[in-house]
Amino acid sequence: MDALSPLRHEVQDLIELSEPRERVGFYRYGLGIFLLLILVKAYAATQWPEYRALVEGLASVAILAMISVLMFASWRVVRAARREQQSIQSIEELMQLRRWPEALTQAEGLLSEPTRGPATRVTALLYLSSILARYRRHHDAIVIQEAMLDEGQIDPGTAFGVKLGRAMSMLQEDRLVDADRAISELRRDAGGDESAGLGLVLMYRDVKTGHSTEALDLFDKLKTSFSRQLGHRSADAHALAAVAADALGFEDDAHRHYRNATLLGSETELHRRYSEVARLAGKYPAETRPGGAAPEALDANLAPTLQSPGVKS
Amino acid sequence: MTPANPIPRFRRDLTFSSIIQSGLFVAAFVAMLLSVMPGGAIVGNLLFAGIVVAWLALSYRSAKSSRINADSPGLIAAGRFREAEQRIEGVVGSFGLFRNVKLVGLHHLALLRHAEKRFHDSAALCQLILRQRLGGVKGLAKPTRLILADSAMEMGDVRGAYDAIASLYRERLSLTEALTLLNVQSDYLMRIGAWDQLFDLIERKASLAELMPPTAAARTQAMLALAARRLGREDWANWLRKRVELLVDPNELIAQRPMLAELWTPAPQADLPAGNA
Repeated sequence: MDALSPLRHEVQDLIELSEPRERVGFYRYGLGIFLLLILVKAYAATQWPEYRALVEGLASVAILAMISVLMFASWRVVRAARREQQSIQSIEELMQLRRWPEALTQAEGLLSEPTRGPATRVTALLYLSSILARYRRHHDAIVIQEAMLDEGQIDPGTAFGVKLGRAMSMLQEDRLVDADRAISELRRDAGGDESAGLGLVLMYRDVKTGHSTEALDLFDKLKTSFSRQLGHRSADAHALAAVAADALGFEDDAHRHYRNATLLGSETELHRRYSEVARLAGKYPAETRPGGAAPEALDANLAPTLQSPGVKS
Repeated sequence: MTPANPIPRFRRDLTFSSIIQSGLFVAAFVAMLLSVMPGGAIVGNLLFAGIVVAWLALSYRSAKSSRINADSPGLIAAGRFREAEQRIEGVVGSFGLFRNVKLVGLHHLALLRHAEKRFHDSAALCQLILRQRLGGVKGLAKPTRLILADSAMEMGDVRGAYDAIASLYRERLSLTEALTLLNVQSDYLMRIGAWDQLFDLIERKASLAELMPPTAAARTQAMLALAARRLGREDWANWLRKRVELLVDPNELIAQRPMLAELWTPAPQADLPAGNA
């Protein structure tokens, strides 16, 4: 298991610190001041015609100054929003490239001060909860997920994803009663839709509670959905199926599922995610990748891969 | 709904917004002149204030369109095409002062048409965007080129795909863009039979393919497997083929790219599909 570099802040602090600051509606003030200046200018020009040139000059300077201030303020707002967006994109990429320590540092940095908008904050919190879950800090992940759901600022699709993460973390923490309640909520939200994510949570609950036959039935039922919706992450479902088959003494099936799991995903990563799968290590051989195991973290520099194809035809 | 061909409308709106912008500048200049002329101060100032208010109102409208724009990619990714179409219609089909907002809307429409597999429409929209002066939205160029390249490949236009992606090799790409490029590039290399180039750096390519959405991941790995087989690297060919079988139904891939059928032709000592072993 990786040693997690300590967070400089408590998770609860990050949730509070990242709340967007109340915006000053300086555009409205600017428009008001501008109209006022125009009126004052017109009034002064008619009331004191002898100072007309002076009034015109002063008003013009004031208007120009105000326009410059507004333009500078807009430029700063746009620049800050762009930086924040770039930061979110960078965290997402680091997570995909499995560069977890850097992703954690950036997510913490972003959340340790007020974000510019609720959407950025929600995304950053979502990423932080995933990173913490990856480091098996499930308690902290749950704190974030609960806060996001309580605040109610997320759309139904995102809320479903957060609830899935929360249910999984609860199972990892052995909070089975809470997990069961969270799963009921997920079932209600899913309605009639077949969700591979929910299927994975249900399989894990069955594996945790010793309902291995149910876990295998669920795997067979959702096999296609797992691969279509989860892609390479369907390795998790194969790995859990291997645990269930092993518990029932179906060693050939367990072997096949374990091989498929390690064909799709890294064996080390699967062991890190599920302690139940880690217990199968050595019992069943993993599928070997030609050229040796894949690197733990992927290289962000993609240039060598993306060389010009040239034209043959 | 978005008109069948939004391109003429886009061109018309662009011309119209240029005229309005120029008109507002001219009117502002006239208002300033009036305000310093004897007896024209009040009229000039009021006219100037009116222009500023009109400008702000149109800017507000554009800002609203920008917000609507922001939701479209998420809806397209979630397969909610009808909702995405409605939102895009709100941007592309209505008048806006700023061309950048329209260009982003048009880019989303190209993305939507690509997701709907209307590749001719998607390619036409991409070409239109790339012909524009992108200015403040120059970041659109890369994803638009990628959509164009993929649409071209889907239409069997290998040369068009090459032209679209050739310039991207000099650019710094985001991870998502790089993955899309890898997918298109693999397809292109397979079509032209550049097996050595396709197999080159296979370890890294296989790892990166894992990060793609399931269908793209399967397709890219199937193409890599074909290159491995053509080069006699059965270790890689079998490993990648078994992964593909766990991700998608091979028949679906073969229907899209018939060349890939070769991976499932009987070969000496070929393994059984992983899922059925």
